Amino acid sequence: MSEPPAEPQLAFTRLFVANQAAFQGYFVAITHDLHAADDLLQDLAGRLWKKFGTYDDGRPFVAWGLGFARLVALEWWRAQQRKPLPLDEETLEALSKEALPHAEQQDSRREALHECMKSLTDHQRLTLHQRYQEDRSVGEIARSREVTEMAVYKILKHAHLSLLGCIQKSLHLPRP
Amino acid sequence: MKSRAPQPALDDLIQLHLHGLAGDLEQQELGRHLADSPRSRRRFLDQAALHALLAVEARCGSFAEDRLGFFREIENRTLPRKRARVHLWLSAAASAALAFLVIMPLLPAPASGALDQVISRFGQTQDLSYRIEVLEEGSSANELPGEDRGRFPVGRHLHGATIWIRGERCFVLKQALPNGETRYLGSNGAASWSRRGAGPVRLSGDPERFGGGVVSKGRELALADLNHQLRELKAFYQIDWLDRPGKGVWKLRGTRKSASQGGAKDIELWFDPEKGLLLRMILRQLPQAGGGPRGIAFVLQSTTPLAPDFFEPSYPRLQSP
Repeated sequence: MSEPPAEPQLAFTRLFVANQAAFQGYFVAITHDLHAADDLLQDLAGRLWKKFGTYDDGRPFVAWGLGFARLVALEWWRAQQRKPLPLDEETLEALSKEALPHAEQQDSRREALHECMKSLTDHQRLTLHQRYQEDRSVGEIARSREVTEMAVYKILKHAHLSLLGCIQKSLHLPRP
Repeated sequence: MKSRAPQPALDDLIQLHLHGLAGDLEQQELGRHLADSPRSRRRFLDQAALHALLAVEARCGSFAEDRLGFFREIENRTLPRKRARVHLWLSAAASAALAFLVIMPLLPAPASGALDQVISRFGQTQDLSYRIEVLEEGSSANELPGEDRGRFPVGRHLHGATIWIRGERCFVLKQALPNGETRYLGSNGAASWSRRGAGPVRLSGDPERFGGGVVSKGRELALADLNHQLRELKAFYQIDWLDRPGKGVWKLRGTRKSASQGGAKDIELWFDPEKGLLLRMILRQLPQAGGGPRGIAFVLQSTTPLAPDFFEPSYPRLQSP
């Protein structure tokens, strides 16, 4: 199959990069795993590029891409011998459908997050750095600090929940 | 008894799950919440979305104390690799291991999931030891001349040797030499050392000094900064299944696409998807410019945790093979 000319490559790259956070957010919602989400993101990029000739630019790219992302994520889920969670098909379908509009808000969530991160304590910031940037498990962080996993978990949980509350407040989203 | 409010319980289940701490019971309970309540699903999606965003922010250095330093460090990390000799035989071994990591995402989904396990085994603190089997000796005429090759070049006495690995930079190689002595050489990540028989321990502040270009340089090339290496190596191997994935061991074969790239021409990888372990790595038609064997296998010997100071030069070791 011949590749589309160079200009579409550029257009595709721009659109994909601009909407990458939405796709990644969607994949994390379904896989619950950051590494698996990265893999699926690569897979999705390949699939979208192959189908880019059929993309109607009158439609939001993110909506078009999320349609494919849903298929990719469900394929992934069904192929897992050990599922991330014991969910029946009906719940999985519901979760994946509800995750779509959620993913489309990912950019505005990210903007709000930037502001909200300013309220993190140094300890929370360091723990988030180790967990997400250094890609260390809770157990590894705990061992390196000679504390219990639960102690590290509590720091992460409090950081998460305070950031989440802050994001919801700044976006005027309904809070539980 | 005062009952717990439902929302904190749900938040805990979600957080435990996202951080890999939920047990079967907690996962089942979370599954029930998600099945029963759209509100719980929304709460879950909120937290999963944040989990994803935090990962993105972390890659942008948002949690680093010194953000400029964070990017400088990333930039500098790639510089030594450009100067390094990538044709040496053990860098090929490491390249093969990485090629394995590279291709896993391209394979069907179970292999992709297993990639995480392999990376965590290689890149973190897991102790691994491999027995080395030379399948085909190379020609000694190709050996690199120069310093530190001595009477017994490292690459010439590898059959039956053992290599212990911890994380990205620590290794110990044990070799039986033709004169009956045992040679150990290794690195603790900060310095390298070598000891032959009952002789003194030779130390160097350069972690690549002993075994450099044979063991440490190759390993560092491949195992420090996976992301960069993965991108570089992705194009160089054509990967096919030797066995279709199923229960038990998966076997893969990689064929180097271009002669202009360093590394073994042919690699074979055996992988245990259950344990996330690379069981065997066979390298054939290794480049001969730097000496060393032409064909070699690394066979997983042990995953038993080693003493904390095992990779230090001061660690007491037996002096018989």
